[in-house]
Amino acid sequence: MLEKVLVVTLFSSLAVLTASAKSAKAAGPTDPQIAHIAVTANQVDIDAAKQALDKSQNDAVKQFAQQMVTDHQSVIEQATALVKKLGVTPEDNPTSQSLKAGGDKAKAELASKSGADFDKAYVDNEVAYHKAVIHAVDKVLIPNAKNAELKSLLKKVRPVLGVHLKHAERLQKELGAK
Amino acid sequence: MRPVPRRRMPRQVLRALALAAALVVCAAAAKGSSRTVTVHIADMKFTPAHLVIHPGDTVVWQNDDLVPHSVVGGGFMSPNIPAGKTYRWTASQQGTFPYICTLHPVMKGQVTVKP
Repeated sequence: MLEKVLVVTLFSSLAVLTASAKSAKAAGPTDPQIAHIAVTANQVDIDAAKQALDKSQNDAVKQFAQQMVTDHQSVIEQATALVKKLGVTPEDNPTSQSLKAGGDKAKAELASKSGADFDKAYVDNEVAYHKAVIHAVDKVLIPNAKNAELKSLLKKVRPVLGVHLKHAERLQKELGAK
Repeated sequence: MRPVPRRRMPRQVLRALALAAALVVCAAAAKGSSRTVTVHIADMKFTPAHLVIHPGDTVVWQNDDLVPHSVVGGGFMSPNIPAGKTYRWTASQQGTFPYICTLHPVMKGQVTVKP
């Protein structure tokens, strides 16, 4: 149930982004909006990971969650440094707001879970979340980024997300086997 | 009686001997010199993934990625290498040293040290 809620929320926010970018002669998100979406998407995963570090008793889940904190925090730092260098002010937008709302809703749902139920729900969400973010990065954020350095940063983030997804999927398999 | 002229070594032979001597000196110098080789960490992989070096050579892992990595193998154990930073290791013995990034274990590399 949680996974369905999360996936629907996440996909709806990213689907809105994709649809608006595809609509006839639409400009797609601007660079300031893309910067805001990128930071928000990373922060949502950090928040989820911190909850997992607090609640999970599973070493593999905690290790994965710690990795999410470390990596996504590093990406935020690089992105923040870049926008500062470019003199760009990240601009809040409906997609960022929807991502944040989805993340908050997921956290609330996960708060009621514990033990193996929590671990499974957290990891299932991470698989779905990373798939959705990868899709958005590939189909919307990278194609619409105008500034070359911002586009380059997004392209460098892409393989990080891919490794995270593989890790989450492996963990999902291990938890499913128990 | 005219003195018998001493036979002189032909010029070609002298040139060949000089060249051979120069090559021997160069080879000796090359054997004693060490290199620094860079492995780039980017796109969540090590490039080159397989490296062959000699004892005394230094490997510099340059983290060009957005996230921290590490290089941990039989002969070396780096701390976490932040984005933009490096880790250096000088090979002191021969051997084959597979390594991974402990933060992202799908990332694998290997250093072979041979004379």
